[in-house]
Amino acid sequence: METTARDRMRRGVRAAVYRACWRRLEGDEPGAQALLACEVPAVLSHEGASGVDDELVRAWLDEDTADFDRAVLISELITRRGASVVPPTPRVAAVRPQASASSEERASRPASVASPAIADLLDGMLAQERRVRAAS
Amino acid sequence: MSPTDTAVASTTTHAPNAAPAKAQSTPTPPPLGRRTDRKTILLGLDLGTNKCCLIAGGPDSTDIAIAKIVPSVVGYVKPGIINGIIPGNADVIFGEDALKNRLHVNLVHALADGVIAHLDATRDLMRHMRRIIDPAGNSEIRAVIGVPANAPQEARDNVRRAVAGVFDRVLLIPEPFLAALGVRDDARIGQSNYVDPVTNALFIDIGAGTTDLCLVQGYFPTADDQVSFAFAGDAIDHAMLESINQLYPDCGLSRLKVREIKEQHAYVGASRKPIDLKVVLGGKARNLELGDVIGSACNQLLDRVIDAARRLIARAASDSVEQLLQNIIVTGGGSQIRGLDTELQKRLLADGYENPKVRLAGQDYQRYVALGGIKAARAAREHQWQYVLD
Repeated sequence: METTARDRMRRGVRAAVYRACWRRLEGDEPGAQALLACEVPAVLSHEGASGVDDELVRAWLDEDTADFDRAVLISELITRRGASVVPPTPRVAAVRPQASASSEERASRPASVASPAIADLLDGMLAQERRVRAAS
Repeated sequence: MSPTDTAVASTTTHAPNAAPAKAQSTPTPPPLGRRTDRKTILLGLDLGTNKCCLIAGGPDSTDIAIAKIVPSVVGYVKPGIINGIIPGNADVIFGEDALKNRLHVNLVHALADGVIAHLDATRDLMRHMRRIIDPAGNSEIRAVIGVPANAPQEARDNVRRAVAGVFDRVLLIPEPFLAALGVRDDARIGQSNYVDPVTNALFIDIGAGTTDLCLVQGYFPTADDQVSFAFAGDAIDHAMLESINQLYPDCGLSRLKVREIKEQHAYVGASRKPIDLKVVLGGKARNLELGDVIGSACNQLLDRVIDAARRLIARAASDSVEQLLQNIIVTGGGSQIRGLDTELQKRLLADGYENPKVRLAGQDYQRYVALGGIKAARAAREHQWQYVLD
């Protein structure tokens, strides 16, 4: 296989993996798997997949997934480091966002009847933590 | 290139080749998140002041592979102990082994008041738990760890420091919320006569170090939905010991003995004296009457629980309170105090609350936080898991 075609194939696979990883990060695991299953074969087929064996493609997928996860980790580290280095901006009022709703807001919040999904509740917890970190 | 005919949704990383090689066929990509051959073990962990509970299992089933309660103590063996005294002749022992051999070790209580008091000892304890869960040491372990309601950031950071390099990914979740998940009967969700405790309940988790109350109403509890105070089992022991030393100055009862007495005889409400106990002190049997000592100490806890419960009920949405009052659940070791449910219910009724109903979580009270933890671990999405940096 020509180097150029192989490079294009490699870039195509990487792009597909990154898009799938984004979906996964947003909580759409089935969507991520579906995207991967659809796009990777399409890329390989489009570029003429002869000369590239299964093991190599799997190695690419593993490598790109690891790269994406590493990027997410670095992003989190930078966010945390930035929060500790940048001096806090002056606050007008020390209000913890959404942690102390007014009595009117609480009264208007209806009692939930449907059983909530645990994963959705965890998203709510993590969102709260991010708000608290951002405010502190 | 070899063809594959394995479905894309398969979790296998190596698809079998079913036909002779053909040109232009494409390999099946492996599922995301399972890019290594390491097995993943999920862990629900309750880091209690007195006892830790760990419940572990695989991600793809509802089975529990390991359930263990480990006293939260680490014993560093004193120099000069001869071989054969300490199990395995180890330098460091944990849990029950440490308690049994406390004369031969420097005993360290890793936690106090619900939070980590000795970071190094806690790290050693976490490594010990890792060895319980994964003796071979080559699995990926993802842990949901309970933290006290409204735990300060420093306490949460200490938990992360304690597990860095021990567990691969973590989620820290308030203990009362995990207790709600643990108490929840998943088989009954959706039944018309079952109120899911996660949708509308007040959880009261009475541990050794802290008592945590939490409103759980179908959304993740905010800081205002949770109250935690450091008066719980250990404080009752302390109050009892002070009273006993006043009544019987020469008795010399140890803290451990007082805890045993509490666990056997704790009650709330009107005085249940006499409670006569025979204790052996200095080799001699003595009779101590401790009815009021026990009741007085336990009633101090009840007063604080009532006060915190009133505050949280006042914060709940008005149209949710009637159902909320029907779902007051007490868990943790303190749920074993005799009469706690009826007394709490009576006091709320006397306060004018409409038809309150208090129930105890049951015999599994030690496991609910960890059980909720593994349920949360199995439900967590990939992006929700957090790394811990060494």
